[in-house]
Amino acid sequence: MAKGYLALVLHAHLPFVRHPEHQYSLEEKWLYEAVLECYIPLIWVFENLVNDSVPFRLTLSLSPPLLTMFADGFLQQRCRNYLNKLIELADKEVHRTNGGPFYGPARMYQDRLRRTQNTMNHYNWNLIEAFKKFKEAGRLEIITCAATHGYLPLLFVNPAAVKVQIAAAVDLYRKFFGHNPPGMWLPECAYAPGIDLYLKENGIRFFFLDSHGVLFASHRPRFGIYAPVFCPTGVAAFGRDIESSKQVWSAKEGYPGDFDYREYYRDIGFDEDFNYVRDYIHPDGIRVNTGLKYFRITGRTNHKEPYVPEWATQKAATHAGNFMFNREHQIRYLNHFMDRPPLLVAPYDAELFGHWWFEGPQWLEFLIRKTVYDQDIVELVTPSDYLRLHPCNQVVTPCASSWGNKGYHEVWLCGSNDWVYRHLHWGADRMVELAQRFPGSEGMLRRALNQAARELLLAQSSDWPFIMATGTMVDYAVRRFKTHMSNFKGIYQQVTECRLEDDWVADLESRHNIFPDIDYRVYAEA
Amino acid sequence: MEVFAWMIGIALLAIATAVYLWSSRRPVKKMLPPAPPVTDVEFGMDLSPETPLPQSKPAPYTPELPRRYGRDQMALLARDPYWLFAYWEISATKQEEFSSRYGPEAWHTSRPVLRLYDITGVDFKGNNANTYVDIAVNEEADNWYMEVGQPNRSFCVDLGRILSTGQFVTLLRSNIAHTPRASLSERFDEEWMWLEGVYRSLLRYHFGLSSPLLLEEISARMGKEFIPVGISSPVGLPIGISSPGVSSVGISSLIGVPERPSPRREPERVVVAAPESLQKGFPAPVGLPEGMILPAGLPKGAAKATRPKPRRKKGV
Repeated sequence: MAKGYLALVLHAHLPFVRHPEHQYSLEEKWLYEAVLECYIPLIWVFENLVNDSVPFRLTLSLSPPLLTMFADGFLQQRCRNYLNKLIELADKEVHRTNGGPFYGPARMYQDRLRRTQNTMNHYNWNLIEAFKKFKEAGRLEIITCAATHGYLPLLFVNPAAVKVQIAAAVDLYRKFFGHNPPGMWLPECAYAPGIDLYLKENGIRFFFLDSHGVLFASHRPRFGIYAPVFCPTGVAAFGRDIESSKQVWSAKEGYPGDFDYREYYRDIGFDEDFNYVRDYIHPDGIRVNTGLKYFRITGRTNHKEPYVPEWATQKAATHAGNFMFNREHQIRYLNHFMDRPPLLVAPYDAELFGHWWFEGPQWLEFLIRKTVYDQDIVELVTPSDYLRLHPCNQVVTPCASSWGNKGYHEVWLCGSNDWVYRHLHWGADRMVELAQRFPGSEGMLRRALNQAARELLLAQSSDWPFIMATGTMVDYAVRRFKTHMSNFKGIYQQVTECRLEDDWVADLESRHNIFPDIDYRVYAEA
Repeated sequence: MEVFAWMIGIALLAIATAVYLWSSRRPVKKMLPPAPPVTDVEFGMDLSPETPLPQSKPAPYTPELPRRYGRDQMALLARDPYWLFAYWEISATKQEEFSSRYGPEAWHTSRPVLRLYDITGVDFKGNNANTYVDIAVNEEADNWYMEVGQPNRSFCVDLGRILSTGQFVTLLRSNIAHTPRASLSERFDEEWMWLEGVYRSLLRYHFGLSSPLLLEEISARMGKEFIPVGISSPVGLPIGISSPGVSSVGISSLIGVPERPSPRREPERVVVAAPESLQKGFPAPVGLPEGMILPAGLPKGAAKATRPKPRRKKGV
């Protein structure tokens, strides 16, 4: 029997970026890049493991905006065009680099992109089908995230806002997967005591916190972060293991900085002759990443050597072995102090794997195979597995926290973004007011009220204040926030003044088409 | 002569063309890949594109939001264990009410003040706060950061005006905000819950289980001096409480705190933990009773039992 458990958790999320009003959208490109570089390679990993009957367990959080975008026909079509264009470029590159040091990597990209096309066709361009397959095979535990990745502790001034962020996410999950989500990834691991009440009401059985969210709980948890705790409501909180996080996350000490790994910051979109790449960058002639990157990190200077895929694969295997070894060591050590097998929770942003850390998915596959076959100390589990095995846990009140810089709410509440909360709180109050004023409605009025709820939810996305705080693409975040708030305000005014502009509302419905089945009256029940 | 002028003209044209071509090519050639990050950041948001939008194109339309919504509103948010943020808005009606009650000149002769109440463990009725402090704000201000320097306490803030008589008049009252903890809890008694609604309290030994690396990491992240807890010591971490950050208002230094308990002591601290466990060093954990296997699955409502009774001292 295993002496301890490892829970690998991947959180996949992108803000809702759908811009039919533009021919080309840099923000939609976030989605296409993530699909091609992260989600598809992860799907390959799971396919390989399932085909080889490897009995692994892994937790995957798919945020509601991401699910919606996966299933959206318009974005699927645009993603197809994006991929076709990239295949065209990759083909050209194989000819151009023939006989040179970049021929190897160029061939690699050509193969990968064609394989991507096959995979996408296989799943009818809807990645939910793929993830669902692995879930049904008993390998993935798929959980959800708040409706638009709202930063719950800062919305909590009006609990209805938090309640609907949770309820709308649960409804959408049920629509795609046919049952309630077992757990929820709280956006940014952001928690404040009391939020668990709304999780419980919606049948959510567990969530994740950063280490200090559990460590600083009151009363003090006996097993620290090495066992989950129950909130007084009975919802379980799992704390992030610091040591395993650091090995992967840290840009300085983590695996992804290895010199044999692919260099992210050298891309032919920037390196090659302008006229040559012109058709594959921004239509206004702005150079952007194409994803075709031929160098390895090489060293700490700007001097870069060509990428050698075989070396990188070798390193990914070595690093997986090292990670495994450290977890075994950690668990053996912890066994001295615990009356039950310790649990190590290792959560990562899914977008780290493949996009920034190109070899991340390979590393994950090696790690899973090694864990399953090469040792008997550590067993892979999901939170539900753990709770089945260990249904008795300590009751504590976790500490308000997040996994952002400094561990609390400062990233999402600072000089560059604090102004948004005035609007968000007003919006939530008005939405509750609308829901109470219109307990029943028909036709266009009903559609307008539902759209008001969608616009408010979209404005609540934690991505906007986050981007404002980081300082890149701020204009876009400000524009998105103001647009959704302004749409909400417009609908509120039109509804209360009985002068609905039907065409305008219909236009919003068609463009901001997230949560098609939302019922605004959910705000009245809070 | 004419030929000469023509030649100059052509030469100038050629130079101009050359300059134009050179300058139009230049930015393209100059375009470098984005610099790699130098700091040890996590890779969270690397999907954001690396290029700004074109300057030449008019920026897409961004609607403006109102600065105020014409309502009376005040909200208080805890940013971290040490800082609070408040924003507010006073309606014209509110202002008129004030003027009709205290006189037409009262608004101008009074000054705006935030009165921040520490209401930890109190059912706040407006006059029963543990302590309070007044923070002068600008007439135009509609939001404020407040350094309280006190984790794990409850606060509420009023926006009011101090009349020329010295009287404080409350205009708005915020919600209650609670600063998060910044250290391990000193409450050691334990409560356990069975998922299936069966509850069994276990022994109440406590030991903070933390590897030194783990604490180092936390201390690095929080920028705090963190004293590693020895595995055998269940004593809470003595941590410097006040934040060294730049403050708009350093409240802890402003208040002459009457009878404030030492900030290092937990306000809710209940001394239940058996003191002998402190003496004995690291106690061996005791597992669940054998054969205590419960049905799996999830509860509709997980039942909670009462607090465990103090453990009787065993004859050693």
